[in-house]
Amino acid sequence: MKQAAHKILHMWRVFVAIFRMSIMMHLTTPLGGVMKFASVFVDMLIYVVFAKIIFSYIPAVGGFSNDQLYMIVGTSMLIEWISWFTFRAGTAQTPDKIQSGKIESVFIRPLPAPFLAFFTRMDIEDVTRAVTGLMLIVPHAAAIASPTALHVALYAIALLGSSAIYYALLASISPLAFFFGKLDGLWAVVNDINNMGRYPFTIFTRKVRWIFFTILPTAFLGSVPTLILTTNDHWQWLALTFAVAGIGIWISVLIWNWAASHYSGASG
Amino acid sequence: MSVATKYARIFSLGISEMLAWRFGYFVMALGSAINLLVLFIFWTAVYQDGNQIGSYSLEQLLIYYAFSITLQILMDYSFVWGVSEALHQGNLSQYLIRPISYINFLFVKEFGVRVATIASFAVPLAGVVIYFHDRLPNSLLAWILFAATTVFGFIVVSLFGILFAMTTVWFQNPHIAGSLFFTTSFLLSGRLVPIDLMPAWLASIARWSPFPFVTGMPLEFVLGNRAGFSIQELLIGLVWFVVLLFSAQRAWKWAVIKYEAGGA
Repeated sequence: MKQAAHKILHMWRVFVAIFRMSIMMHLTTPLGGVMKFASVFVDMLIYVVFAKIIFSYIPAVGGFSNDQLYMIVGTSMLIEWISWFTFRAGTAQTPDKIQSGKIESVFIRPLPAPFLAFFTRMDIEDVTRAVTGLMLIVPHAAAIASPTALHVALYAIALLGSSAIYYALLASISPLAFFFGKLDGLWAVVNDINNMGRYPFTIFTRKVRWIFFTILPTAFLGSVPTLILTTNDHWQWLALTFAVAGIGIWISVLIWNWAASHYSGASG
Repeated sequence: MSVATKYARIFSLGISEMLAWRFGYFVMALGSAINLLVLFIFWTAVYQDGNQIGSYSLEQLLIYYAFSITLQILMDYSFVWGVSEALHQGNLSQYLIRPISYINFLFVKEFGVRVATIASFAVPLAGVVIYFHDRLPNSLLAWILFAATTVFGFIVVSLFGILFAMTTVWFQNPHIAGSLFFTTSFLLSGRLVPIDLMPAWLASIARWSPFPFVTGMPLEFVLGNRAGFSIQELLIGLVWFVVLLFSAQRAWKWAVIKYEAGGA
């Protein structure tokens, strides 16, 4: 127990060190930093414009009200922010590291290899996603009914659970580079999957919905946290979120261990 | 070797490069099909609930987004990263001593890559064309104009791509200017929503930019909402083409000078 706590503390220190380095990297090229923020801002503007245009014609779809639709988009932005702030850049860079052999350094250090492989960089500019997401969520949540403190607290916890699910998905895909090398096409699919999180899961048939709750758990990247914030079924949705997150992370570790055991050098 | 043979080889090099990673290619094809399927499900659900988006029927929107994905594949800007990385890592030197223009080399190779990529979406696109064949334009002229606008859009995208890739020399980071350009283009091209659905201020900005040539205008031919171009649109296209061509050439020359200075 003490050893596990020590390891978690060690991981946290590494995480904080990466955070500091990421800030310093941004400060080395201030103009570049400003442009990065501008880029993410325009990216977010795109989704706000899309939501404003399309949802102005849609009072409800698949049982989700207009306000809830906005909140799904906002929620997916918050999860995107958490992912870019933690594991997203690392999971995207891992295939290149595997191809070039740079991945080998993670196998010889006294911390879990997936952590060292995936938590390598924090994109500070993506905080813009969080700000935009909150600007969408807050007024629309207030319009439905002022959420209680419990709703908000459970929603925040659900965001962490949903991010863990997203991590599990990417951390399960990334090690496939041990076998297939380049995963460019697959990352395009991952982006598409993430975009699916911006649609209410109820628009899909029951069989398709099952896929979006298990194999490609996009329902947790927008709709489910929104339901936790806006309905009173929050406990069951929260329990489901963490159950899927736990299973997902367990599977991702198994995939990493299995794939890494087949690694025999950058040319192998 | 004749000029035509030289560029034909570069074109086939682009196709080979794309097909080298077959798993990635297969997954990309699958991803595009899934993306299209989800869009179909979403818009069908929206219209089933009695909603309507502007003056667009469900069929029109489905055709719009199916062809939009096709153009998105064709107009992909990812080659900018390759150019930026070459500048950033110092790999450009090998191209400077070859008896061929780097810009022309890139343009033709990228065209090969795009042709191979579009083939990955052929099956879903063929499905859409067969299913909606009675909703698509019958006139040959409409398809010719669609193709011509698309080619012009590709040229615009490539020139912008080269221009922004060159900024790597100044920003010391290959991803900064490119990212900003991608998102702006995504917003103004009509890839997100048809231009006539945009708020008036945004549609006005879009119409003065070259981006509608990339997605919105070609798709208007497919939907039968456009018969040709106005003089203003042609002038806007021409002015942008000249400005981009001039700027890309100047940026390339400056970048080479700066690149050499950096390596000294």
